[in-house]
Amino acid sequence: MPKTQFPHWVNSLNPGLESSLTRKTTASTIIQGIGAAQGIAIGRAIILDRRRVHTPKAHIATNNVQAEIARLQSAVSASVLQLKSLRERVSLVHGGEHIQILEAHELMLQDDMLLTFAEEQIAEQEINAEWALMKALENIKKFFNELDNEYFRERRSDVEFVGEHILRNLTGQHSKTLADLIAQSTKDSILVSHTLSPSETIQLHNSQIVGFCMVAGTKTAHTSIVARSLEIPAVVGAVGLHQNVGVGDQLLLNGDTGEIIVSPSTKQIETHKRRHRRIVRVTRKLKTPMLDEPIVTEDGFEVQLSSNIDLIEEFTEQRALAGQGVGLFRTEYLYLNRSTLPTEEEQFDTYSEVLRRASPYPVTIRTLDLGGDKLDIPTTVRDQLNPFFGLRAIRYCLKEKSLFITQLRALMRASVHGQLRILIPFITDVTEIRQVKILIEEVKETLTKEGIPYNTNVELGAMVEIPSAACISDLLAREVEFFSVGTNDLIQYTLAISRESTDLQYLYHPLHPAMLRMLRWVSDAAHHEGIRLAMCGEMAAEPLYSVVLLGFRFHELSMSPSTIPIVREIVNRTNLLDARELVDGLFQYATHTEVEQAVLQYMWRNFRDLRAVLGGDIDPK
Amino acid sequence: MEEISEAKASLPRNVQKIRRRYQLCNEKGLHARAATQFVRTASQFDSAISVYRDEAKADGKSVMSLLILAVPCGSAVDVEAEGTDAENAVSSLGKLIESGFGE
Repeated sequence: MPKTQFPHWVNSLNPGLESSLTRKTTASTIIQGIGAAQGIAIGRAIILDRRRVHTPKAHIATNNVQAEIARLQSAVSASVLQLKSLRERVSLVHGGEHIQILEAHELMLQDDMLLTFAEEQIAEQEINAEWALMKALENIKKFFNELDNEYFRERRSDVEFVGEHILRNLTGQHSKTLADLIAQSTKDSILVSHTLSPSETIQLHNSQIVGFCMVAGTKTAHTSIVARSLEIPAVVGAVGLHQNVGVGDQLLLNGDTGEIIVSPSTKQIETHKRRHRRIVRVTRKLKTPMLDEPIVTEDGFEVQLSSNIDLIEEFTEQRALAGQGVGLFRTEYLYLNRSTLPTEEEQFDTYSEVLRRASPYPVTIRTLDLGGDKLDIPTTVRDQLNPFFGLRAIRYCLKEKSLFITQLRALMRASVHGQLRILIPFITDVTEIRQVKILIEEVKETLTKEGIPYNTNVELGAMVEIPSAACISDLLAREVEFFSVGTNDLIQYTLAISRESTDLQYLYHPLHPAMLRMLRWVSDAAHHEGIRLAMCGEMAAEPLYSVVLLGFRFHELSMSPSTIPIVREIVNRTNLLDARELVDGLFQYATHTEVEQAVLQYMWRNFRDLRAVLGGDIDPK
Repeated sequence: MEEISEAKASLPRNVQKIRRRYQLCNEKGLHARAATQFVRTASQFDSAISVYRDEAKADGKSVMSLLILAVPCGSAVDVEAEGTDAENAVSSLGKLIESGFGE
């Protein structure tokens, strides 16, 4: 199955950080999650009761200690056998990554760290096996929770799966819920659950269950990897699932876009099916991209197509799809879900690794784009009134100088490992960028004094995502080496649309005449001063807008790695003069509908074979 | 690979303690799949196996312990074996690391 994802971009205002939204349309509810494994599944909801296994806790008599240890050991042996038989069953049909995950779980079931600790607890505390096991699990999870590296920290979920498996064998509360569900499921069922373990996901293979969705989970979790490897359409991170889905509800699950539609209309089903079929057809046809080959328009204008990346683990995919560097590396993940600030060393390690991996291509790293309200860290400055208009991003960083200087130092130190560009979010005013420049100079001076090397050619850029920044782009362009346009926020702030309001989605149009004018100011300012013009918003990932962005003379478009092959194809087949003519022509229209019609007509005329991925909600007249 | 120490003096006959440093060269570091292979190999030997990353130490026969060591790609680890088959253990594990866990 091709690895291409087309963000449904009305719903991905801030992918990653707030990927889950729920919106009501006329009759059906749409729940937005993260597309974890591609494909469309349509069927009836079956719900897995994910209430935790009940753990009886009791003290035992001294002469029962040996028996209790034996009971634990036999529960472990039973668990190992169950996993082994599952592994043998699935390895007949499939090799690959999910088998290796099961092997890891098998070893973890017998891990000394778990069992020796639990057995000691039984003997020393004279408690029952269930209680001892819980204590051992808590002890291990404590270690995992303290890890800085996201990948390794996430392995605590594997520890949980393993622990639950033993616990079910101990208490006799077998995970028959899933087995039963699978046995009782009728044709075309969609599994709805709070969580699903990798080994449970494997059981869905060759069952009547055609797709699954769950509240927990991320794209890099083992469960998601298994789903992709078995080609079971899946959506994870779907908050609001349990509130909106009942047993037997008709569901449409779109693993490409991360959408789950409850009671979809016939029209919605048709649209999603058609869209997916076309995506499959088109992506299959696209030639395998060659690495290290410049991406140029028909008339030889070079465009850099780079990737938006959150986790280092995503690099493999990015390289495979021939992205040229990283156009947006968000640093929020370094700060979230923890009680202490990330240290300079820790940040230095992460930034250095990103730079090394992307080398020889550049990496744009965006400084912290959060407010104090999102951090679990006790800080002095906090503002919880309205995070979207409040003290966040660069405003927050300039108030919390020591936090910001730590990040700048880590960035400058890492700069020797590749080609670094520093991007400052939420700029509204020239003063802010000047203050940042002063701080960077101070950091450089200190580093020089300390004899620590750094790259003197680090580029500094401003994020253009607030209308005021677009208005003063001529002034801002004199202060920085590049602009990066963040379309999601720019649209939201320009058109005064709140994220939550589903009634206002009709206004959310990247091709609104106001947006076109704003893009022209920014483009003219950048080109007048001769600085780089980049876009890292979702608009860059929509193939429908690729020619328009070329017409606005963007040097770099940064997007989710999976979209690169399609955009690349469009770039290769576009003549820059035509693109500029198209854009010039758009300024005659008064409404976004007319603008969209014109763009769609142009795109459909010139890219007939790619129609599927261009989106066709509005038919050109 | 470099020899760190080879202390035999205080140990009984036939029991060796060997410690060598290796550079991890695979894509993801000592991640779940690599740790699984490491433990499978380590478990074939009678010697006690430890893995060190800087000051931190992990049990080379425990996947959980190795994952908690959280070794990213490109870092160096010390592999230590103590027992009658210490030499074989360290060199087999070293080969596994140097092969990038077959990636």
